[in-house]
Amino acid sequence: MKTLMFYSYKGGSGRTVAAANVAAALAKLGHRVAIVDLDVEAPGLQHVLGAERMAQYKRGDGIQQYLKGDIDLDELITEVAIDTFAQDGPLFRFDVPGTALLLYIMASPKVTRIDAQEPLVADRMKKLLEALRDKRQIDFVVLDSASGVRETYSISADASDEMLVFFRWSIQHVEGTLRFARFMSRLKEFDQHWIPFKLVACASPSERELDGFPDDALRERLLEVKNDTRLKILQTLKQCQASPATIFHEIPELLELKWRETIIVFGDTISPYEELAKKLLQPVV
Amino acid sequence: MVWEKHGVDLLECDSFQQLMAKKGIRPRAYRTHIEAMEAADLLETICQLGDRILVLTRHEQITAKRAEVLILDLITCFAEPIEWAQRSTEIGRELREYKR
Repeated sequence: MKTLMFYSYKGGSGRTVAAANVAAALAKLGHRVAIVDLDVEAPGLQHVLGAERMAQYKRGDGIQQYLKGDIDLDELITEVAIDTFAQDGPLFRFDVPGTALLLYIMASPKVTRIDAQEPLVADRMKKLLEALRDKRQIDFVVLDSASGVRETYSISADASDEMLVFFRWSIQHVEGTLRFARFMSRLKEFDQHWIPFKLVACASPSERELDGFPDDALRERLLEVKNDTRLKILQTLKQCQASPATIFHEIPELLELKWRETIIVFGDTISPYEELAKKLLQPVV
Repeated sequence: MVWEKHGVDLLECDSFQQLMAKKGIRPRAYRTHIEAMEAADLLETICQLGDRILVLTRHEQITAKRAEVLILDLITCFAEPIEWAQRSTEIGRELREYKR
């Protein structure tokens, strides 16, 4: 079983939409997948997966209550987790091959404070992953984590085998993401908790979109910024050679899909998310 | 000098990190990823401070005795960066008083 952390240094990168779509794409490819909403302070996966109208969601319990010890593992799996492809699941209309599964573990919409340093939290997270592996035969766990480096960041990071760091083409996102990449590089340098990671650009302006810009000067400027940023990222990745698994996927098509908060991987054409899912199946370089 | 007692000539080291490697000193392992991030950030600063002491020593802008005290404290900071964060801040403040 492989645990993938979907992360962004800043919010609004398209991370949650990508997490849901990549999880669904992995299921479409025949894998057994669990997606866990660990953006516990501002959960949003329920909207992407269309689960907000389901009875389980309305009851209000989520991963937070489990991590705090208020509900046990059985309750979490039977009352909080949703088999999205089951007849009463939000994605029941989609066909998936054979034994494929997409299990969604919700976060509670209630304001729930979690002390991530509390040993109980790490212990419960470990038990959840073990149960997903041993009892549900899950191949991939997708963790939709909160942005920033805050308390709950550790819950995801400490449980992950690999991290996908999402960003979009804005100065705050790019600078923040590069800062984060340098942090990760230092972790490797100082032999501390390093995790292989990939940078994933969402919402990069497409050439077509830039072509449609009425203002020539602005279009030129946007192109210049795009190329400068690309160069800067590539240079930083070169500097981070200590992190051999650092791979940059540019997915320019994502801009148009950014606000379409729905599962799109089951269309006739292969989506960028499905491409990303396939890349994740390849071994780390 | 103390570092000579440890078999390392300070003036022969290109960097503080090289000095740590020669002495076989490594930062302690932290329990969580977020603590490790904080430690790695502090370690970078500690290494920069150590490098600055090496430069000041070479240029005789700091007394050998003072450099020894600061380096020994930085070694402690390097081994346990979060626990000794306050001391590395103090050393940084002191080093700002020396000319570049």
